[in-house]
Amino acid sequence: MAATPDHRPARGLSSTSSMAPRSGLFAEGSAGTHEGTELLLVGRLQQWDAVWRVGRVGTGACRGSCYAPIMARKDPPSLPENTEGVRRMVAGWQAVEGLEREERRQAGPDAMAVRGALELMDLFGALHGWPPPENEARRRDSELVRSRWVRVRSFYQAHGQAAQQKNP
Amino acid sequence: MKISVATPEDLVIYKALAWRDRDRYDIEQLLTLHGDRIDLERVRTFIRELAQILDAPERVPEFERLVQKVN
Repeated sequence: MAATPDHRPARGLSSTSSMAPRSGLFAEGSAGTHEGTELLLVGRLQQWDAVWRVGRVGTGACRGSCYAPIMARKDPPSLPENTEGVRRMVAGWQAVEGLEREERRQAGPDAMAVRGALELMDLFGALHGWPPPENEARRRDSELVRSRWVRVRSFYQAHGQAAQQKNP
Repeated sequence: MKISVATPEDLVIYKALAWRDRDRYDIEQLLTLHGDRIDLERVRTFIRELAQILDAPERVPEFERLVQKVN
């Protein structure tokens, strides 16, 4: 994806698609077909101006690390000035969103999550061995609770037996 | 089919017995979410009793502080 020199993503296909809502107003095929929708759309775009100011490089699996924290520019936002421009922009978002969905579908729904979990297990293994050792503080806590419970239970048992002896 | 579940009240009592950090947090959440349906007097009675059995009289004012924090 190409970014403009001021780190603002180029409009159209290279827009910040992943920042766009996944449903509702921007649902596929619903972009700006009614006057009210267009008004809402522009309102939402203004709200997202801060998002526009974060430069983004790359698409697809490259998330998080690809969002460089760029200082906000002081000039006013340059939004499309007509509804046709907004429509084109939203269509661009949706197109990129579609591509990213396809990429995720090919990668498998949980591929990244599974990889992350395995990496975490490897890290634990390297540091402490797997499974990780029992947390000493938690073990002490549990023992304390157990002893309290035993104490309360024996009190009620003795109390109940005494009551039974008094009133056979 | 009948399924028995613990009431929020019972959970508060149980957690007042355990009284770890996470139990105090859970009590706060339970009081926040179900406060209007919890019979606080019943809970207080139990907590007074537990405090006596466990020789932990501070449990009663500590519980009251939690209640006040939530309200």
